[in-house]
Amino acid sequence: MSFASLVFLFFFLPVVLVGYYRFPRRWRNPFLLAANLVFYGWGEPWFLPVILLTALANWQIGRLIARSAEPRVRRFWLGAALVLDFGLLAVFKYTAFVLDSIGLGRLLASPLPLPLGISFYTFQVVSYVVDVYRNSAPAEHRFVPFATYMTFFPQLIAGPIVRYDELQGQLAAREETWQKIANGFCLLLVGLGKKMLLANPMGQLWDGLRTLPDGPGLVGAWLGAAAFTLQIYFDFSGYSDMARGLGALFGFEIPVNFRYPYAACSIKDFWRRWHITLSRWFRDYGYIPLGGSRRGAARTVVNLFVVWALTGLWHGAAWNYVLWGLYYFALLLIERQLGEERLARLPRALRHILTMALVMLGWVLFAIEDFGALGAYLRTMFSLSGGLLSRQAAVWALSYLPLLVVAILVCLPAAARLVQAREHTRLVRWGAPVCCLLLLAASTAALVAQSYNPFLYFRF
Amino acid sequence: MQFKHPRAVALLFCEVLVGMQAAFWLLPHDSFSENEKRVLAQPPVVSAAAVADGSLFRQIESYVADHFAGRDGWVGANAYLTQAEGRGAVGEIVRGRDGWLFPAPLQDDGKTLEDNMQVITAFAEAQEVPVYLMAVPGAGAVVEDELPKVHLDYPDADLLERARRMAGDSLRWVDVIGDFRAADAPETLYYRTDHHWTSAGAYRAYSLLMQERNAASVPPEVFDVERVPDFYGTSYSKSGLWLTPPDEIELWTDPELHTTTTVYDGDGRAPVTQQGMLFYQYLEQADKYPVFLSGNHARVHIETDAQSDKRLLVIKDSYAHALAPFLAEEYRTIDLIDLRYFKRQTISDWLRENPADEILFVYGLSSLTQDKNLQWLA
Repeated sequence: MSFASLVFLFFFLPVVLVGYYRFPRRWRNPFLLAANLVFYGWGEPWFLPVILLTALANWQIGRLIARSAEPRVRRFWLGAALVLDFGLLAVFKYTAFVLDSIGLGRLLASPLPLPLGISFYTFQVVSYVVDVYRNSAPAEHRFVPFATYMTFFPQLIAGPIVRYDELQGQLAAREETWQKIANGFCLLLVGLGKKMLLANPMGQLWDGLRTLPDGPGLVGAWLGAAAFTLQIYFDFSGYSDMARGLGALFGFEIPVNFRYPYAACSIKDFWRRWHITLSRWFRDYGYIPLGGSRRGAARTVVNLFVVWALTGLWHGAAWNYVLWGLYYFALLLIERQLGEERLARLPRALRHILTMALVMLGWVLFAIEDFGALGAYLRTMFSLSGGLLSRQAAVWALSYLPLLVVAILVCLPAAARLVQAREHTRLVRWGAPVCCLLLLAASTAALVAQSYNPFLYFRF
Repeated sequence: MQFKHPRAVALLFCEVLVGMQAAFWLLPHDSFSENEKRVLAQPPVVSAAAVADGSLFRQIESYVADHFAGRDGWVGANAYLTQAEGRGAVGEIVRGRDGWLFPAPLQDDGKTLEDNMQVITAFAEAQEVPVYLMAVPGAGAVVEDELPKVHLDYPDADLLERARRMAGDSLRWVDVIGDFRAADAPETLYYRTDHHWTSAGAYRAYSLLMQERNAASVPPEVFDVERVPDFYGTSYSKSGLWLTPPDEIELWTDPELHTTTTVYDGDGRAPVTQQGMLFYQYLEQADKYPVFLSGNHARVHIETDAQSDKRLLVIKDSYAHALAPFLAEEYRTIDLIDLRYFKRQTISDWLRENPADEILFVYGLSSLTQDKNLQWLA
């Protein structure tokens, strides 16, 4: 089920919310687990066994690791869990990609269906088993809290990637307050608005500019890149906001996933702000176990290379994602060589613009899977052969200009800081809930309009 | 943030969500959407099979969306919000000045128009009788003064020029766009809220055809004009801009001319015959264009008492419907065939059994650039 859907917002959510608070405390986790399973099984019930068996196996393995003091036994079970979890991820997500890459794509009649959220819950569950193995977190002895964590519907599909120790205490005892619920609703609706009112239109602009028969021209191509840059941020951060808001409705505190990444002044800074829980995961469970930067310069470069190639591959089973990951590997390496002090001498505005140009270029690599089309688009971005701005692209640009301005304001921290500084004024106290309701109304209108399909073709 | 009355805020949001759901359960559900011209989703049928293959969930989703409380209102709100943002200029329907709703410029795939012109030209070459082609541009290419300041270019003139160059000598070209663009009041030739031409537009095209035939056309004074208000056309339905004022539809009839119209469908329904060419029952609905020849059918046969013994075959889309009352002045019998529905035989076969003295193609340019049914000609 998608958060940005009428069934979720107006049917699933109110029923779960009212039901949750009707139950006495000790029934709330089982009730949430049931809600998680309905949410997860919605549309694709055949994935339920996959996720439930994954949960059961990892829960059991966690207990086995905790029970044993023998390092060999512990290592064996850790290995078993990693093989199982990454194995399932590899089979479902990468089979077609691997077969295609070695020229055996024909073996697969149709691509395997991808279980919802498998990239996210695999990482969550691996973090749990590894933490138990490292003794940095205790094993969970009851299945219901563990399964509730693994299938927790607010962050099941698109993160944030929460470690078990972050939720364990909250699963056992958490305080639901009106303050949390009110804020949770606001966050949920802000996220919904980001998705429906900014990300989706930006996606239309990107698609529109990309498919113009005469091409967009150089400026138009950069505008398209900007549109996709905004689309992916609002899409993803919108989902994260919704996840955090939904968590708060049930008393949970889910970590922040995006901290104004497009305000970054360097690539390193960008990755401190973008998809924070994923970077954290790769640091804690990839880079550092590989040795991090403690084993010499050469080994550090190799480690970085591996981690960034995997980061790219995690985002999608195609070579352009790997390219995108390695692009950041290269940028970060260059940045490291130049040194932070030397870069800091450049004016801040220039650093920001440079960073954003590189990030936009990165998103183009990310957006276009086909290398032929990617090459053509990059040529438009860097040559005047398609002109500066085609007539059609100019019309698109003009008609999306107001929304682009709004989108840029929302993705930078200045406007939000202005509001936060006036948090205690009457205007903001009353204005915030009203604005959130307006966001809900506008998003609902957009959702309903998606289903509006005049069947008029036959009348021509 | 720290709310002063968090309980009130939280309950307010919760009530809105619960209230919308309650409205869904309590309000009556329509089975047909007048604006969308389609049957709305049926209540889902729960079965183990439907759960297993996931179709139940899709059924529920479309049922909820189709019957969501205040659905048309939400669609309208979204349409006006899109306009306010300025994004309407590149939408499916472009809002012009003075209540004009233009269909977006045609998307040319660079192939269909060429294919269609090739088929038509080859067909025309094989005929011994005159063959005319009347390709109708969209309103956006004609009523240019009513377009908004920011809009995409309408390529109709270029496309028609390309088509004209492909048409050989055997196909006689009726230059509708040239004539329409030179008109004193081009805004009278199309509906504001529908993609079709008006009766006035169709009359102009008819006069043009008569010029091409070197014949005199019947003057407009011959016709009684009946004006019917509250016509909301297809562009209106697509746009969601519900506050747009309706059109008026003009029905031109020649009181001296008597006609009998028979409608044939390709799917085995019994033919329907009536006196005259107008089907007044369609004036009851918001979209009144089917008043002409009752909308789309495989074949419509018209017998007239005109001073002529000529037989005309029209191969057409719905633009021909408004033209029929004028053609009826010139021919004894007219057969209008719509290739999207007429599938029993090719036109060449049909002509062997039902010879015609003249053949006329009437197509909106949108059909010529998109419709792939013209291969049923030969």
